[in-house]
Amino acid sequence: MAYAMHGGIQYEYIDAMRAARGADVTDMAPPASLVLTLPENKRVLVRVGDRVLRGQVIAEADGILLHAPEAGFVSEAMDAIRIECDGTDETAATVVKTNKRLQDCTREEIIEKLRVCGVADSDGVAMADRVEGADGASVLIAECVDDIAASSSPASIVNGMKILMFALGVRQGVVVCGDDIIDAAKKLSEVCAKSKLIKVATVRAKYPQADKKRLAYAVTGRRASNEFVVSAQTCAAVYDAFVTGMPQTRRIVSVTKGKISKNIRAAIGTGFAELLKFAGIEVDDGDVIIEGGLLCGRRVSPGDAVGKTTRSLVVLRSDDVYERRGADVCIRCGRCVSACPEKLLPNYIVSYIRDGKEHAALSRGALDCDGCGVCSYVCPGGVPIADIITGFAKNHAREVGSEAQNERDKG
Amino acid sequence: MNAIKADGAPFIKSPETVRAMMADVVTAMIPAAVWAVWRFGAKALLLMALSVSTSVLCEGVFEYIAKKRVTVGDLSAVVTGMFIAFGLPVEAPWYVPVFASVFAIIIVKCAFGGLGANVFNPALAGVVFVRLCFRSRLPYSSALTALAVGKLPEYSVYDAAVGLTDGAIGEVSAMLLTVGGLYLIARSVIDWRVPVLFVGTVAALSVLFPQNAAYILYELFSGSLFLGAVFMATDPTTTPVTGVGRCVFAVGAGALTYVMRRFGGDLDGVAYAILAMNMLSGTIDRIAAPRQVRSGTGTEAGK
Repeated sequence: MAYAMHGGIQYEYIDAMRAARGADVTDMAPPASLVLTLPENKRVLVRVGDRVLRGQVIAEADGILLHAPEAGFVSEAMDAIRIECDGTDETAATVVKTNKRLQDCTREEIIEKLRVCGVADSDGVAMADRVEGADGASVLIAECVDDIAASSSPASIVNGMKILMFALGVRQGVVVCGDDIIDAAKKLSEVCAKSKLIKVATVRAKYPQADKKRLAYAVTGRRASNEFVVSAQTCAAVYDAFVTGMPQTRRIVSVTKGKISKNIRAAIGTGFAELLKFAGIEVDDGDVIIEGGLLCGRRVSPGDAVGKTTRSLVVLRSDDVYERRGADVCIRCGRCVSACPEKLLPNYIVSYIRDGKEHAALSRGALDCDGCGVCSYVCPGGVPIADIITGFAKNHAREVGSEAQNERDKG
Repeated sequence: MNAIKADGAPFIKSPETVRAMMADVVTAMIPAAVWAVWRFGAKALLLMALSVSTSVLCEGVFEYIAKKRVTVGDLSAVVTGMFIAFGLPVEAPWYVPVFASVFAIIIVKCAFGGLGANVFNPALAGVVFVRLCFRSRLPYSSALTALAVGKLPEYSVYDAAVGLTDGAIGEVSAMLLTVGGLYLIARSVIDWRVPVLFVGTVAALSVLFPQNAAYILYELFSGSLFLGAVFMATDPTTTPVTGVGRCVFAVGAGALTYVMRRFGGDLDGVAYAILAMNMLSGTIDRIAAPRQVRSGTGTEAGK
């Protein structure tokens, strides 16, 4: 029987995109123009009118290099870079294959390759930095519970894992698969069968099993310490980067509205409106588009575009979106307690926070809350538990930070 | 207050609401309520009507006067009213359910902060209050009186289980209360461990410290044990939130019930036992928390 995590909730109850899991991936041709949004600390390396080639470096932000997903002309280069694709297949000269075997490479070479190709993980953190900073990692965990790339390229994922394990000096790799993608898990097992160091583990498809702490506990049975957790799609990107030298130019995004649910491999920078149109999904007035999951994601607009961290889009009709009423009441039923993956007592923490008992809230573990939101989902009284606790934790961190700053200023 | 829509996660919500849970509880009580009317006549219906309407009225008036949001729509006052009626014998004069409801809602529930904030089970406290105030007018079931002096009741165990006996109108039919309990367990409204452990503890103690082997089943089916175990000890607000905590609560309540019955604290024992455990719910939670979080920031806590 598959391992089932404590608390949480089955994906089938909450996730409109589960229909797409295990479905085949459809490739989408890049649209006429691609929009790459840039974060705050950016350095734009091209100007309007420049012609860029596929894989060419166009910007740098937070230590991660950004590349053009397709060849074309730059039409905008301020807060976002817009590229008008010209349909050619020209690739930048910097995209260089690795001719060496993995065993002949050094750790530094791999890290450099990851840096040059701007490979980022699902949270947008540079893989090069992560691998470099990983000290004594014990196991590599590739996550296929929330990430649906497993269905498309098991070989890339496993090979990517091998590269990472080599760079990290880790001798054990585990691919964690949700139990609702049996076919993909089988394909992965076949690929892993040849390797003694990598195996496939199946877990009950529950949210938030894909969370780092949950995966670490599922694999090691101990509290998370030095496991290196990465999503399956990132492993595949590592493999592509290493072998072909091509940075991430595509992203597998699952798009869902009601019964229509598809996995689409789209160019980074594809506008959501075009992506949804390609999937055959109509966005009506008042529909809400949510990216990143229905319990912990955020609202996006059709004008936004696919980025390196985009995973899923769900279109909800206005009526289906949860409308939080101003008044809520905790009846102490304890559903949040059963739901909490961190084994906290969310109802007590909320009552301490609302009564202003800061120390009590902290001692009950308010800072350990991951913000997964299952408690808010199950609460019959409509208490926005996750928001209250994470809001408190953020305020506390700010206060602690500013207090420390005051201390420093004084001394 | 304006509705906050689509600003942040969660964007979906489970369909469970307080009102739906309360409606389920009322549904679970219907078999026992119908039996009460069938067995005890229209007076039973009058008692239920009086207690429900008084409860709802008291809650509404109190909240209106106190300028709070009127929460009568969540049906919790209806449930309290029904429980109060269930705990009274049919001989109760008309003013008894009224007194009980006023005390239960205004003092035990609203004055403590309303739904979710009360320490004691309002219905149980209301019934206990009127039993103390109007002692002579509210007879206990003949089975309890007999067991207390070491005699067997006059009717059969079958009668006791099905409900063909005397006693409070809602407590007599252990069978129909169990049916209601199974419904609530199936709907995930109550935790099955509580009624099982509560009744199980009383059963175990009556086996370990028997008066007479024949008494055990009478012990279980007489008085308000099933009513308390299925409906009162499972009240969300006044019982622990942790799984282990609930088990401790149920075992404690069962033990106290048996001790009170045997050592003469009360003929029934159930109401007082549950009220006593209500006081300890918070402490039980603190001790039985699923994860021991050390004081401080909590981030150094072990698992």
